[in-house]
Amino acid sequence: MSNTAYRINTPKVVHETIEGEVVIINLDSGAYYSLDQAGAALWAELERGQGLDDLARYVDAHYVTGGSDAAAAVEALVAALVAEDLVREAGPAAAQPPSPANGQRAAFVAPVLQKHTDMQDLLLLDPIHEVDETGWPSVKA
Amino acid sequence: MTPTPPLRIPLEVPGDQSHYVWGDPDVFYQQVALAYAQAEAGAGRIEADYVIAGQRVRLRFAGPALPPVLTPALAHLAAPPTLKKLGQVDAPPALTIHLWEMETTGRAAPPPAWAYSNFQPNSLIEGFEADPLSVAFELGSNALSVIHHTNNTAYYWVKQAAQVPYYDRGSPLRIILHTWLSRRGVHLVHAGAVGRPEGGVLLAGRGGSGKSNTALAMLGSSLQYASDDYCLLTTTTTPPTAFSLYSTGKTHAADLDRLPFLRPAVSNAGRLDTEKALYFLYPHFPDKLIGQFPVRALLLPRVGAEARTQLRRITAAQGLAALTPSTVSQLPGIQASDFRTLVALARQVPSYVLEVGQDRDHLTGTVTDLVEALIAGAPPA
Repeated sequence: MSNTAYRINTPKVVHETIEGEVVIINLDSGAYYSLDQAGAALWAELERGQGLDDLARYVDAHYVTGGSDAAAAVEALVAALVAEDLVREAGPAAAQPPSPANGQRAAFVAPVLQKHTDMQDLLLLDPIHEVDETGWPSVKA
Repeated sequence: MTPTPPLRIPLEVPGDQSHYVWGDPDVFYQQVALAYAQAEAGAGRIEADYVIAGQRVRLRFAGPALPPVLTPALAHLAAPPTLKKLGQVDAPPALTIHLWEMETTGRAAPPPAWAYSNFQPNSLIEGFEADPLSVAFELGSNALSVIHHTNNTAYYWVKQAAQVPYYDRGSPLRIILHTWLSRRGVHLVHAGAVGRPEGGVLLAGRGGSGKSNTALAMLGSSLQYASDDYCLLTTTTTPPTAFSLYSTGKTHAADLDRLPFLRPAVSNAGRLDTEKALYFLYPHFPDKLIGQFPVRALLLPRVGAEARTQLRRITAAQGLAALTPSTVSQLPGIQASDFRTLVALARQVPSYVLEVGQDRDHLTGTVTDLVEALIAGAPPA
């Protein structure tokens, strides 16, 4: 692993934190996502420019990992975010102070990017067969 | 609605493709405006004004073919006639929508000024979606919508009035109204809405979740009905405000057995083998319709197997996860402001799952009791 940073893919990706959960939308695709617990915390760290190594150290400092591989979990989460085009690689992370640990450490659960969709059957245009003499489609729903 | 004489304006390029310019949104807009003017010059003008989320919106039709198709769903929002002194004129509408069809006016919209690949599944036309112009073509409805945000003018065109599908008759002009209103802080959301002037609830979730049946069942309660499917929402007020947009409802035909009082309001009784039942609740239930109310909670109906209806409190993020994807799937694209409005709603009001039971009286009683508790400031935990 390297200390590569990632930037949130704004402006097409918009996100908010609500009652400790991060909700994210890709305005281009309409796809909607959420992250909770460690996932929400890691998103916040990623937003402030922390690199992959920093994120793994953050997990070790803030959670009881019980022997689970924090680095692998971080890498899997970031890979999922990249695959959905929610974040993009932004080069080496600048050195920043780590977020301070606040006493009690929760048990670490590998974060999962939840994707929520309700996309209807979208119609696609067949330009050869479905455009009439006006130049406009006549597609039946 | 008042028929007025055709406009007398010079029309120089009917059907003349030499003026056609590929890829220029401004020229396309002017051609659309010209095509409408030509249609109106031949077929006459019919106008009707509506008050939608506090905004006066004028529908200006070329000829009589489209008003019976597109106006019944908005009839409950018709602007009241104003008594005027001599020489006094109405304030101009905030938005004027020009509507025509080709079959009776003989005027087509100008052909697309873009490649076929620019038709997008979300209906917006790639390259023709930046301010001040939004252009959309809905495949299936085959309706062209053009909105000029600076001029506060829009155009709507279809080939034939008879081709407007039943679901668009029940919720017409969604793209134009959503696109124009969202820039004014009012957003179309995929949700039912029932309540009374002091407060009410939104019913959110994907199709088949029970929104419509729950909202329509509430016609038999002390609460009033604003929507079963689409309503308007602003979070610029505290609490947020829901506005009625369409006085319609839709259910599967089989649901009529459970909601028999709706039979007189069915508009498509002869086509229930291929269409959902579409109800026009105005003028059948004028006293049961409400124009707006403060939103006190977000409810996510789920069709349950039990007789009794149950309520279960959920997190704001869970409520948002039900409301947002289903709203996005119904909109021509989503803007950051649409999303932030939904987030603001979920932050401000509690969310509940409503396990809808088979006993209709218990369902309506549960929702009514919840609304009363919310208005009293005592939401159930």
